[in-house]
Amino acid sequence: MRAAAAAALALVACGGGDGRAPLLDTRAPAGFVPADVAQLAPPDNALTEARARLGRRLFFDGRLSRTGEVACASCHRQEHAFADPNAVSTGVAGRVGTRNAPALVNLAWSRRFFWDGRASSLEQQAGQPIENPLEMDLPIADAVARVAGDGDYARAFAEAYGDAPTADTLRKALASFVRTLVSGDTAYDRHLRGDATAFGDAERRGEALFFSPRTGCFHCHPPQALTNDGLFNDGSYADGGDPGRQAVTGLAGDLGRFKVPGLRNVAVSAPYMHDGSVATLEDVVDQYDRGGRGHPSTDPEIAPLGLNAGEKADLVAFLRALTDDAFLHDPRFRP
Amino acid sequence: MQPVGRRCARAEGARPGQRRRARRCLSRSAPRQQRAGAPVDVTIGLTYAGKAVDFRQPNPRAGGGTFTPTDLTLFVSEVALLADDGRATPVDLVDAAGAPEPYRVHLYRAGDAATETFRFVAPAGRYAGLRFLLGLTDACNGGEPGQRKPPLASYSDMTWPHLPGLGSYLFLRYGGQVAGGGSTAAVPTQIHMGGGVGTMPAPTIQVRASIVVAPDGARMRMDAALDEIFAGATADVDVSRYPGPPSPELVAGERLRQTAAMRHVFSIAP
Repeated sequence: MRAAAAAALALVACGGGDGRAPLLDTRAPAGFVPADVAQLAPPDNALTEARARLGRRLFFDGRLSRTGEVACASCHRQEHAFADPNAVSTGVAGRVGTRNAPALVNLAWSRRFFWDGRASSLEQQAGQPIENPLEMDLPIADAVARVAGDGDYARAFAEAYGDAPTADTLRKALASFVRTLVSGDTAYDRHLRGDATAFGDAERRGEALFFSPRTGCFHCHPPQALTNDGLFNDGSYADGGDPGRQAVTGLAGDLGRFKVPGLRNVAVSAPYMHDGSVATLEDVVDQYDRGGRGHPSTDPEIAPLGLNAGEKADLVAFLRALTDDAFLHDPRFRP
Repeated sequence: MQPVGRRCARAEGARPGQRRRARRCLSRSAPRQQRAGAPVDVTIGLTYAGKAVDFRQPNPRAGGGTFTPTDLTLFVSEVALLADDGRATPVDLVDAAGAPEPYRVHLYRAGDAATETFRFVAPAGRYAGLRFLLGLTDACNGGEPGQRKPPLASYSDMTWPHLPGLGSYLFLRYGGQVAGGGSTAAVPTQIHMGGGVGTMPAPTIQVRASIVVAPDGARMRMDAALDEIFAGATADVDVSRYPGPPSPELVAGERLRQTAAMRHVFSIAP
């Protein structure tokens, strides 16, 4: 009996008691700084196995929506790098959103969230889709009440945060799970680590072009990180439409500025841009080659590039080399 | 062509016998570098034609029309206070909590209140000016941004891939829009100023001003004049030896790098 109890305790200690492998692996991929993802968590929400598991459960739970039918995972699908393959997402009662659900990849390293950068932490971000009428349409207090009434959740919150569920800990748990979504085993990453077989000729040419002043892609998508987390107007629409960051700041110069997304797994997270208006990577390259769509506030960095067909194909080859199959199929990220 | 005069003696930041020794780009200040003193806050503001600039808003420009600055990001490093006789007292950059800034570098980003003030600790006393690098030392300008933490991390917006003859970082980046009015030639929409390790150092800026550091510290405002930055970026100087690609923003940056120390880009309000 004692041996069985000890074994059960060991299982709990290692994997939360459900027999699964631990979700949490705080070792960042080689070359990432810092090397420990846990260092990126805020002091009041240290990253633990219990918190990440709780967040995973919440992430896949439709009870966090008014109708019980829409979970975070409804629009953030693992096979699409936790993005939505639709241009904009559909929330409760078939309501259609206004922006493309972005991929949730390596957000532990980000400092701003949502396309308009209005949240400065994952904890700030986590509750807003729950309450958004176009998405999950449930007041956060009601979401808390629902999970509080579930004995399993009550125990999980107690284990993770030492108390009954609150709006604060619900957001923190979701943030903890999203923090575990780390991707760093793409062909590009292996190439950076010195694997001479990771890239073919097309990928090498595409990489050189991508990081050249001629295209200037690296200004927003620097080497290794592949996003500078900045807010820019890349000319992805002609005029009118979504004001982007300007809706947050009210500043004229912020019109049409949106957060620069990371590019790991970009090949599986179509469609693209803040409104999902660009269908394929080839179309993305074409749009940048043209210098955008003519928005009057387009960043001056965006200008016609004069690429030929071969160069465009090389760029696309490089972008496809940013896919991390292990991340897309990692069983730890499933319910 | 800008006049070449005695001001050029400080243009490249080194005089005979006073060359800076190469040093490592330390993520933390060595203990001997953490000098005692009082905190001095320097808040950078933007001006154009002597007037405060509304960042990310249209501002009138000379010759008619408007310009809207949307980005001004720059590094400040190697800060020192100057005495009347030119002797420099190096000071340590610290964050708001008093801890040394990593790499002894401050990243200023217009519009980001958290970065608009840089702080250092200095001995109390009267000084005749401030000196700093508008950019990075060679030691910091080399190396891999992907292996560094902020403000020299790869996502600082200030990196560019290794190109022959150029370092890893931009020293200053400006971006903006122009509208209406006449010629826009004097108002660039992009300036990307960087340098080359061992070949194209960051400009050393000297700002003459009466600075009093009280025992409990000091606060001052330092204005960055965008019209001076624009003038530097469009100056008629020899860029034929610039090793980078001839992109307009890079060439503008090189013009500015060569002339920034000779212009009155920065001033400290009395």
